[in-house]
Amino acid sequence: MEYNVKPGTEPNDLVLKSARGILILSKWLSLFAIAAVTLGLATLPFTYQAGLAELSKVFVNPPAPEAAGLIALIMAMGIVILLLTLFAINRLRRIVDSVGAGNPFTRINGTRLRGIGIAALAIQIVTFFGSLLGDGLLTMLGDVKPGVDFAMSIDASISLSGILLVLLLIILARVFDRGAEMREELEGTI
Amino acid sequence: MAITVKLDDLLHDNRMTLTELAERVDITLANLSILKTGKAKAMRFTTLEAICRELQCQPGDLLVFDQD
Repeated sequence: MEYNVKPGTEPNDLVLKSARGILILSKWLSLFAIAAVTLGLATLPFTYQAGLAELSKVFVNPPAPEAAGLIALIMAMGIVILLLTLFAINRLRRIVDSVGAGNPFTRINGTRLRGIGIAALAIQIVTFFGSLLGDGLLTMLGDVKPGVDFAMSIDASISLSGILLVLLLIILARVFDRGAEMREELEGTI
Repeated sequence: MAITVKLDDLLHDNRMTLTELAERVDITLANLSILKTGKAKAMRFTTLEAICRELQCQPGDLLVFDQD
């Protein structure tokens, strides 16, 4: 079925083109980051001793072998966050494409938005626990040697803007569901 | 469906084809077919007015409520 495309929402509209470009770039950056962190995690059993030796140059007390386990866990959480981001980017790209096609109010777009909302919530939760682990790792590593330029602080807290984003996405998904219902009604109107 | 569209009968009474009516009321043949087969979900007053004008009938002649 053909839909009337309103001015400003044509497939070649500058905003849509920019959004599509940014999403494609973000997708490839996420894929690159997933590959890099996965490679790092896979090679950690062979490189962790060298890594711990580097850490012992920075911290007063030599790091315990458990630190490598914590680092691996944080890296695994990073991969989960990146995969969730990739999931959200792919769905957002499809929504942008449907806006370009002039038909954004469909049930599938409501489902996509709900999926992005759930992914954003999962990212918030994994980030929170990842931050707790990072904080625990810094506590385990202890004090920095005098004269070494190293400063790192991890704030493990729930982000209010993140929670607002999740709420916004889930409510927007309902708006799209209602919009799809209205569109179906309109299509059956003679 | 509780509401039945009597377009077929009215077209027969007026010796008019669906294509001819579609041209006169400026509605696509596909949409008029949907209306004729009772698959339409709603009807605009403008559509009802145009059909009643061309078929010289009242809305009640076109739309009938079935109790069953």
